[in-house]
Amino acid sequence: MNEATYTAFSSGVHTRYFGKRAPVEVSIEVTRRCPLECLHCYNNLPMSDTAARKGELSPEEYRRLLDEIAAEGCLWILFTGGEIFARADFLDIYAYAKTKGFLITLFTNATMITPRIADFLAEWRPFAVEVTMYGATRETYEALTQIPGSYDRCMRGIRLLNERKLPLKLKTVPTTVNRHEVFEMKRMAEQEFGVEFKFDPLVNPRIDCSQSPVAVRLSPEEAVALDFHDPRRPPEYRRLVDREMSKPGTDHDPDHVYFCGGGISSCAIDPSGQMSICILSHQETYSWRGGSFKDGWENFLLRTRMKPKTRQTKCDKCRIQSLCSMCPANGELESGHAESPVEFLCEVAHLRAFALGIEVPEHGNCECCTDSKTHAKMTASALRIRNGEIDVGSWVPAMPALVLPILQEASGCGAGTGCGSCSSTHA
Amino acid sequence: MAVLGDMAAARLRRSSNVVSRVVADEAIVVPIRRGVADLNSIYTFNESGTQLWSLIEKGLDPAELVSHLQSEYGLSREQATADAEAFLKELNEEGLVEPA
Repeated sequence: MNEATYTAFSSGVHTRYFGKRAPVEVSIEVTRRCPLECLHCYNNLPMSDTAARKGELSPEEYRRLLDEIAAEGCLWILFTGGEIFARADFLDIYAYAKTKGFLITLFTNATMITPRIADFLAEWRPFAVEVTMYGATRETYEALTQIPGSYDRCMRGIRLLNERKLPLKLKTVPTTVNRHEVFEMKRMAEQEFGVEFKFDPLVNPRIDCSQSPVAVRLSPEEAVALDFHDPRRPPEYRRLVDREMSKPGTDHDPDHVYFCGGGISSCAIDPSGQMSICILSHQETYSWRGGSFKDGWENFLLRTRMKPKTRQTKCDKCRIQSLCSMCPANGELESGHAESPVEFLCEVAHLRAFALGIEVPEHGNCECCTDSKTHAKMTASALRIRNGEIDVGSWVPAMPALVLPILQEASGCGAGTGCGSCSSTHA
Repeated sequence: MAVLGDMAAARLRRSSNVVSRVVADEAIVVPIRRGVADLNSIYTFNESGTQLWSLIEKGLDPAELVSHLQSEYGLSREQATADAEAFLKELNEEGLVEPA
C-alpha cells in the first residue's frame, strides 16, 4: 500500500489521464431554487418555483446517475445550485454520493445550514465546503441578497461548519453593492474564522438571458484595483503571463471553439439532468433522462468539444490569455455566441497587463490595444492602479440605478427544440 | 500474528468507513466517514495490494491471506506471514480494516 499526499495523488491522476478523455470531474446543479435573491446571480429561482422543483431529478434518479458517473471513472464531484440545501433531500443524495467514493465539494450560501446538517457533514465529511459571503455587514450583505435576516443565517451557518472543523473556505463576488467590504470579508475569513478567502468579480448575465446582474458588475478598473490591492495577485499574474509570453505562440487551439477541460476531463449536469460541457454553458445539452451518462459523455460531449470555430476573433492571437477569464460559456451568456469575445473580460485582462507594465503584442482588431480613446483611458487607469491611487477602502456601495429588462421568463427558456432569442438548442 | 494483537485470529474485512475505487487504473481508498484520516493522504495499492484488498472485501482471516500469498507468489510460509502481517498492520493502523 502506498500513501501519498493529496496533492501528489491529484497530480498523478491528472498526469495519467493526460491526453485522454475521462470525466474525472463532474459538476452537478441539484437545484436552481434559492432562498436568496442576489442581484448578481446568473441562475437563481424562487424557492416556491413549483415547476422548477417538479423538474428536478429525484433521489432515485440521482442514485442511478451517480452509479453511472462512478462507472466512468469520475472522482471529483461538485454539488452546487441555486442553494443545495434548498432541496430537503440533499443529504440523502450527498450520502449516496459519499458511499460511491467520490471526493465531494459543496458550494453553499450557508443560510440553510442547521446543527443537524452540520453534524451530518461532520460525520460524512466532504472534501471541501465553499461558502459565498455577500458582505461583511448585515446592511451590505442583505442589500445584495435582498433577503432580511439572511446575514445572520449565513454567519450562523459558517460558525456551525467551522466549529466542527469542516474543510471550509469563504469567498465573495465583488459587485458595486459590496465592493467596499471585500477586504473586510477577507479579514473576517482569515482572522475570525481562520479559513482561506478568495474573490472573483466575474459577473455574468443570467442563463434566462436577463442582463440584470450586469447592473451591479464592477468596472474593469474597479475589478483590477481589487486584484492589485491583494499583494499575492500581481506577482502571480506576472508569473503566468511571463510563462505565456515565453512560448513561441499561443496555446489556443486554432481550430476548435472550446479550449478548457470541459468535455475532456469534466462536464456538468443541471437540475433536470441535462448534461453540458460546463456549469455555465446551456446552449447545447444532452438529456440524461433520455439516454445515459456514458452516451452523453462519449458521444454528445465529444461532438460538442470538437466543435470547429466558425470565425476569427481578437482572442485567437492574444498573448495575455493567462490574465483573461474569456471562455465560450462566458461568450454564450454575454452575447449569446460562444465565439464572441466578452469586452468586459478583454478590458480586465488588458488592464491587468498594463498595470503590470506589460506591452501587449498586437493581436488583431482589439479596441484595448489599438483604439486611441479606449487605450488612452485604460493606460490612465493602469497608472492609477500601479501608483496605488485607487483607495478601495474608501469605496462606498452603489445600488443599481436601472434594473435591466428580463428578456425571458424566470423559469428559463423551457423545454423545446429551439429558442429564437438566444439560439439555444437542446439535444 | 503478533502485530495484530486480538485481531490475529479474527476475520477481517474492509472498514465501513472507506470505499475503494479504481481511478486511472489505480485502486484507491477513499475515507467516507469520521474516524478515518482526512484527505491529507490518499491510499493506493500496487497490483498485489489490489488483489489482497479485493480478498478482504467480504472478510477473510489472516491465515487465508498467508495461503493466498504462498500460492499466488510462491512465497515460503515465513515470508508470506511476514508480508501479510505488514500489510494488515498497515491497513489496521490507518483504520482501513475492521473485524468481520
